Amino acid sequence: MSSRTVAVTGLGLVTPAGIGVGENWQRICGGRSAAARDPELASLPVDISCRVPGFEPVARLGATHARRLDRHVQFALVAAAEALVDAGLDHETWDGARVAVVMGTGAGGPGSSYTQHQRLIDHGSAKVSAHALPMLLPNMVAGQLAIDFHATGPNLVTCTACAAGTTAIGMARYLLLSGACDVAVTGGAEAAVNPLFMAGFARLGALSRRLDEPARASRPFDAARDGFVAGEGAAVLVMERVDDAHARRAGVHGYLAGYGASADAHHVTAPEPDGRGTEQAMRAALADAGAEPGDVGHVNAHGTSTPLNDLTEALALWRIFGDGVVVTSTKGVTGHMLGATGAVEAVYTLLALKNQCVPPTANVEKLDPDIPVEIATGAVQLRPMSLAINNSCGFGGQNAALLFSRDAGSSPSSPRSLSTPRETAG
Amino acid sequence: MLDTIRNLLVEQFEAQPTDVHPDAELEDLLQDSLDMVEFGAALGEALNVHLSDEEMSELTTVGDLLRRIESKGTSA
Repeated sequence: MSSRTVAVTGLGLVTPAGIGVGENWQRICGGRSAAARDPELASLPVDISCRVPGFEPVARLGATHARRLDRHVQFALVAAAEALVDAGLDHETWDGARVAVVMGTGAGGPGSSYTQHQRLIDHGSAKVSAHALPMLLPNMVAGQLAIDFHATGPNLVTCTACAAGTTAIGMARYLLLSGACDVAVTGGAEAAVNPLFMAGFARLGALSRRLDEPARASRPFDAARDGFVAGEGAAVLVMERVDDAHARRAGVHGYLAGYGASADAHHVTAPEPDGRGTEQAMRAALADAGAEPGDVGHVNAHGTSTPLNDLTEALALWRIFGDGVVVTSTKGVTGHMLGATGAVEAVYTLLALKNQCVPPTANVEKLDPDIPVEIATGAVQLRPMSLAINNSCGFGGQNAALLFSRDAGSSPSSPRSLSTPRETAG
Repeated sequence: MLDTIRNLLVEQFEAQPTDVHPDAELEDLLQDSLDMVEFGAALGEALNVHLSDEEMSELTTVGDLLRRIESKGTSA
């Protein structure tokens, strides 16, 4: 397993659960939802969202970046700065040619696109910002990270809707394993909570209508779930080949041992009814690492809180893992951060592995009786485990799964005993 | 009018106040040509005068900019 494993040496988060990894983990373990009424969405059929709290672009990035960059890129820059400090890497002195940036986003800068289009309509083309194009293009998040951190190696953005962050991390691993880079700065970023996107999601019937109780609206796997709550944010992970990370005595949060991807080839927005596509991606991640389902102790599910997603994903999980894993969806707290969500949840998965515990799924009051797998609810659940999966599914039927390992080179079969004790979720 | 220009450059474009004087070159105060366009639009709005992208690209110094605006009959 070790030859295809890479080390995660740095983490950074900007999410509705807070700014910074520590603040996030505390909020996630507490299971307190970040959803609230959103003044920007007033007059829309759905006006609740999960915003990043207290994000001040000028204070964090300066007036120029605050003015010139789309919000999702601003999130990514702050998350990347945290991750690089965490990794103990200095972009002033590193060999930037050996540093790749691979980020995922579902939409790029639709908020900027919306604003600039409004200026075009209201005031004519001369009032459209010269920065409009760089702000709205989806590749710019990786481009801007390269500019700010002098990373001149391979640079790309993956665009697989709500699996984009997960896909990016998988692609970054490939670049590391191929030798195309020595360090990968990777993750996802999204800031698509704007009237146009929310109107579109509402028309799809994808959003929760629990408008009078926003804090209870995102309730993955609950019997009364009725849709997702849109969120925003970014996550950045720094990854290196295991030998490199160990040679420089870097602190390691965990290891990415396998990646799998698939396409439903079924429908533009609805998942394949039996969850075959997402099952295929998770099985591919296991095979990639040479691991067996019984080796895995925990899954951070896509778990959006839509009736369709949670059921089909749970069916897939049941076929692969049976009752051998404890499943959580942290979207009960953060809402659905779209293209960033997979990367954010990859960080939560790593933290769960590192801390040997599973955070609860917020807002589960009555578990859907059709959900066959064990869902973590209530309080944080201690869970000895060596492997955990982060699973993501995107519109377009694009699925991606990451298999994380607590150790660099443990044999896939040896830790199986660790995952057998089961504790009932509180 | 110089105060208006200075305030705008400091508040939105992160220029240092002491760097903004008639002999200062605009390209030293602004990050790139995109910001030159943005600065022209923002200044035009502040002074209620039209500064085209082409005009802005022809100007070298803050003094050039002051004279161009004065030639349009504005005295903010």
